[in-house]
Amino acid sequence: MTEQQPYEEFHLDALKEIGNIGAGNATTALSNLLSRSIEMSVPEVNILPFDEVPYVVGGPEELVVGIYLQVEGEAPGSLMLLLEKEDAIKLVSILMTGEIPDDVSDKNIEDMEQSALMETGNILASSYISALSDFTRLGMAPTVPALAIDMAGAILEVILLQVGDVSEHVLMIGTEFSYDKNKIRGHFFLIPEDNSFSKILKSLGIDDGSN
Amino acid sequence: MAVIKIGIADLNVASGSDVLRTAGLGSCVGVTLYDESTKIGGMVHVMLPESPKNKSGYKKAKYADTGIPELISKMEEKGCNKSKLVAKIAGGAQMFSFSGEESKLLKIGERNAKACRDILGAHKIKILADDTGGSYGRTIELYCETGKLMIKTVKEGVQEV
Repeated sequence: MTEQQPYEEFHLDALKEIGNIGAGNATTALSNLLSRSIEMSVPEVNILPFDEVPYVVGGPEELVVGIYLQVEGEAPGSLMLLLEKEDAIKLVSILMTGEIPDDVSDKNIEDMEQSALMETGNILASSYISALSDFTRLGMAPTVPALAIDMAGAILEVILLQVGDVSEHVLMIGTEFSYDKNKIRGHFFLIPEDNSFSKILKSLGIDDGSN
Repeated sequence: MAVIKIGIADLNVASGSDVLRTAGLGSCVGVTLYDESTKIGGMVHVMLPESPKNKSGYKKAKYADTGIPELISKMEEKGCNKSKLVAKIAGGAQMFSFSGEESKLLKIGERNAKACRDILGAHKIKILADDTGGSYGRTIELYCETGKLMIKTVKEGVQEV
């Protein structure tokens, strides 16, 4: 997005609905995958200065697991699944053993677990994007995901690069998911590219005033 | 002593017992300049290699080719002699790697680091320490009292250069 084109409240509402549809479908997929009931928050649309982006998950030095992929097609962008490290360990433990170990604080995420997390990211992203694609009737497909375990600031930089050349802000459609009253919490972020906004809005029958 | 935080695409200058700090560098590069004779230090958190040629009004600190010259002139305003400046740089990682074809976006760390080296070279500023590349994030602190740069990572621990 550009600074010259501020979004009105109803544009943001439309983007929230996009988040609702995508993340709703991804949450259902996660529920099925884990055979657990996963809850989802009401999506938030945030237009953030670069510096504030890492605070969506506790600041630039918070240790997190990021599963990142790009969205290709008519409305390109990127998608990030972000979990604090302990939450990622709990999630992968349910996947692989069916239960959460008592203490996960000093556990590492091994290669096998990374693969499982990436595959989880793949399934969730595909669910998110296919719901979005169906709803907007815009062709979109996710790339194969990549995973990193590191400081939130370093991981989230990758989404700033996408918009960094044209903007000082990034628009993120974020949804939090949780299992069993915050035993596991995580976030989905959809970050549409600059030109994707008007396409998405137009597909919903909303004129963003750009033409 | 004050710890001065530098955000993404931002820069600042400090001196004496002050510490300049930037947290969570991924593909971005933290460029620090130091003048031992005045104990003045400067830091810029560069995000991209090259500024757009057809546009103005952007933050100079965002790009290597505008941020580094901007930092040099800020330090000169504080009384540094450009010929005495030395540099230490860190960051420029590739946080995510994809199998198959790698997109331009993901090679940005490498390009950022190269751009910083080139621009420092063009200004005849010697690079005393270069901790760039890899696939991990870095937090850096420049101690203006000594010119030491502390580099903290999740996987490799803490080192001072």
